[in-house]
Amino acid sequence: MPKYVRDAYRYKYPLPIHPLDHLPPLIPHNPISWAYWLFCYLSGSNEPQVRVHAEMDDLKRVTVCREQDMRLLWDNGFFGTGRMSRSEATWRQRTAKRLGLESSERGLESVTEKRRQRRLQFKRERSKFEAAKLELRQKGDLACEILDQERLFLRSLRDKELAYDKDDDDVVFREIDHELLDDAGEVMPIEVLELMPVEAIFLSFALPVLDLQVPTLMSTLVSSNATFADIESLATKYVAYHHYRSRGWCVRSGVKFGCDFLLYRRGPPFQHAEFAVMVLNADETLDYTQYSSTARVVGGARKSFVVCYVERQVSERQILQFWQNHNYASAFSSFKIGEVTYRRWVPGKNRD
Amino acid sequence: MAVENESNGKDQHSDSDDDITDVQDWSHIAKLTRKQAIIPKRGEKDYEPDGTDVQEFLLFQARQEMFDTLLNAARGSVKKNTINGYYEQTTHQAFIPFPRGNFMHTMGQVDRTGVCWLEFNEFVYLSERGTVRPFLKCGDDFDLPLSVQDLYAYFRSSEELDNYAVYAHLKRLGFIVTSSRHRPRIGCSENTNSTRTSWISKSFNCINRLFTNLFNVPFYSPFFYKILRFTSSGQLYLQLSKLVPYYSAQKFASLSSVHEHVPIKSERQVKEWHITFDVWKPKAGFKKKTPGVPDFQVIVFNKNASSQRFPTYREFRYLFRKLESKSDATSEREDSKWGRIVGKLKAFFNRGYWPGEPSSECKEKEAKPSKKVTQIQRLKKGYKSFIMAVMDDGLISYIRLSENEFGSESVWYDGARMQNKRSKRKNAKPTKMTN
Repeated sequence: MPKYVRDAYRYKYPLPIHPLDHLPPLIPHNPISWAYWLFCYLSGSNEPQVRVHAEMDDLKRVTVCREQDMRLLWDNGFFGTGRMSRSEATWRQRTAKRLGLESSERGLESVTEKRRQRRLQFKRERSKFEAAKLELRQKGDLACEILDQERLFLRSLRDKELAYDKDDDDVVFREIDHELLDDAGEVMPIEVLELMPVEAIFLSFALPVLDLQVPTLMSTLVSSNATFADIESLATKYVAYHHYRSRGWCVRSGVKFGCDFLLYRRGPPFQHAEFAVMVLNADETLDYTQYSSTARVVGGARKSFVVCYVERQVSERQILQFWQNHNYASAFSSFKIGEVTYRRWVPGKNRD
Repeated sequence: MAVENESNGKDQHSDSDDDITDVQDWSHIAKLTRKQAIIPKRGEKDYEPDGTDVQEFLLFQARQEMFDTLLNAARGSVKKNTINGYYEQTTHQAFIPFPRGNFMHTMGQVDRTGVCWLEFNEFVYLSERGTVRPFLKCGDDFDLPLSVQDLYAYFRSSEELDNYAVYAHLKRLGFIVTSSRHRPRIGCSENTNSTRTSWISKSFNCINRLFTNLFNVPFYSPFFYKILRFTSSGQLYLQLSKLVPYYSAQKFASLSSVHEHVPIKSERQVKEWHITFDVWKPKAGFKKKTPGVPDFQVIVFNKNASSQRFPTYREFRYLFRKLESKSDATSEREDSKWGRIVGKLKAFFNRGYWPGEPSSECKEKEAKPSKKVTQIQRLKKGYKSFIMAVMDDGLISYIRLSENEFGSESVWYDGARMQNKRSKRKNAKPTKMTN
C-alpha cells in the first residue's frame, strides 16, 4: 500500500458536507433490499447534526475555537488557518512535543524549521569561506588548495541540507512555559482557527456548516447600510472563491505569493498548489509591474499564474437591492467569471 | 557608423564565409579558463566587489579577452554584393530598384516593374545588418547617403520605434515577422450589427438568468437538505457550481470567427487593440503571398507610455476574438480527434478482416496519457493566445496571454467512492483465493 493511505482516510471528504455513501447494496431481484435502501436513503441526510460554532469580532474576523471543530474544518476541505501555525492548527501538539509531554510525530513546521537551521549553518560556513578567500586575495595569493577543499566541504553541506533525516531534539523547558500548562499538566488550547471572510461565507451561505446566520455574517463583514463600492470587493472575491471551490479545487489564501488565492488539486498535504489566482474586476487594469512581479514570485514557486476577471452583468443598483433583500444567491450569480493565463514567453525556446 | 564596415551574418554569400567564422571564435577565453585555476569557473561568480586589485584585474582580463576577439577580426561586407535602397519620405517606405538576396523570401513587396518596396522597419533592419546601403531620395539624379543614426531619426513616433525594436529582435532570432495589417486575410469580417444581436442576447440572457435563479434559490434555503440528498461529493459539487456563470473560451480555431456578442458598456471607453506583428517559426517553404495562419501574433505594449495601459478583460475578449494564430491546445485536440477516427477505422477493419487480432483500441489506451495529466496541461496552456511584447526603456520581455476556462473542468476528488472501490477490491481478492 502506498504511504499516503493514512492521509487518504483522514482527508476522505473534500467538503464538510458528507455524501450518503453508506447506503446498502441494491439487489434488483430482492424487493426487501429496495425497501431497506429506500429507508436508508430517506432517513439519511446530508445536513450535519451539529453546526460548527464560530465567533465574530469587531475586526471582521471569523474564528473557530473548539478543537474538534478546527479539526473538522481542516480535515474536510482544508478551511481556515491556525493563528499560531503555518496553516493547520497544530500549535498545541507542537508545544506538547517541544516540552516533551507527548511524543507525537513530526509536524510539517518542524521539518521546515530543521531545514532552515541547516540552511543557516550552510550560510555561516559560506561566509567564513568568503572571508578566508578575501584575506588570501588581499595578500595577493590566488591559487591555493585550501580553497578547493573548502569548496568541496561547502558542497557536501549543501547536499546534506536537502536530505531529511530524523534526529531527536533536546527538550528545553523554560520558566515561561509553565504558564502554558493547565492544572492537569496539559497544554492549554489557546490556539484558534481563523477563517477568511470568503471561507466564512462559503461555509454558512453555500454549505450549512457554521452556526452563523448569513445576514448577520454579511452585515458584520460589510456594514448593513453598505454602498455598492463596499460590497463589491467582497462579492468579487467570493464569486471567484466559490467558482473554484465548486469545481473541486481546494482554495487557500495566496497572500504568501502576492496573489489572492492558491489552487490545490486536493489539498496542502497531498501536493503543491498548481495555480495562483489574482482576482480582478473586469474593468480593472493594474500597472504592468504588478502583474509582472506577481508572475515572477508565483513562477519562482512553480505555479501557473491565472488572472481571474469578475464581470458584473446587471446594474449596481440591482445588486445592491439583492444584497439588501438578503437575496445573496441572485447577487452572486449576477457576476460572471473569465480567466486569462499569464505566462512568460521566451522566443529562443519557441523557435522550433 | 560607416555602413561598409558592418557585417551581415545571414544574407551574405559564400565568399565572405571566412570572416564570419573568425568572428565567432571564443577559443581564447576557453583556453584561458582551462589553463589558470584563478578565474572562477563559469556560473560561479564572485558575489560582490571585495575591493581587492586581484578581483579587479581578473575582471579586466576577462573583459579584455572579449573585446580583443571582437576587435581583431576583420569585418565588413563585400562591395560587389551591396544593394542600394532609397527612402521616400512622402510614403515612409523604401525601395530597391535592383533587388536580390535571401531577404526577399520573407520581406518586401515586388511590384510589376521589378522594384522591391520595403516597409520602413524592414529597411532599417536591413541597413543595420549591412545588406542594404541606405540613401535618401532627393531628386531624380541626386541621392544622399544615410547613416544608421539618420535612419533612426526618421521614425515617426515612439510607438514605431518600439515596434521596430521588437521586430528587429525577433528577426535576429530567425523568426519570420510581418506587419499584421499587410497580410492577406481569409474571410474575417467585423461584427457590425451589434445592436440587434445585443437586443436578442439581452432578452435571452434575461430568460436564462430567470431559469438559473429558479434553480439556484432553493439550494441556499435551509430546507434544501430536507428535500435533496447527495450520494457522492460529485453531485454536491455539481449543485454548487450552478451559482456562478463563466465565460467559455473559444476552443476551436475557426477561420470564420464566431461573433459572440461582447458586452461593451458605453460608460467606459474600450480601447481597440491591434495586433502588431504576425510571427512564424523559421521554415523553408514560406511564401509571402500565402503565408498561412501565423504561429504567434504579437502585440507591442510600452509599459511606460502614459497613453497605454494593460488591457482590461473586455479588451482581452475583443482581442481573443480577433486572433487567428493556431493555439497549441487546439491543434492537439484536432490531432487526437483525427487519431480517434483513424483508430476507429482501424478497429473496424480489424474486426472485419482479421477477427482474431486484438483491436487497436486497447493499444491506444495504453499510449494515451492519463486524463488528469491532459486536463492539467489544458488548464496550464489555455486556449487562444497571443504574445505581448512589453517594452520597458529598451528592454523587451515577452509574455503569453491565453484565454482559459476553469469552469468546465471539474477536479473534485471523490475520496469516499474511491475507498469503497478499493475496499471492495480488497474484499473480492480473498474470496477468489478461497474459491
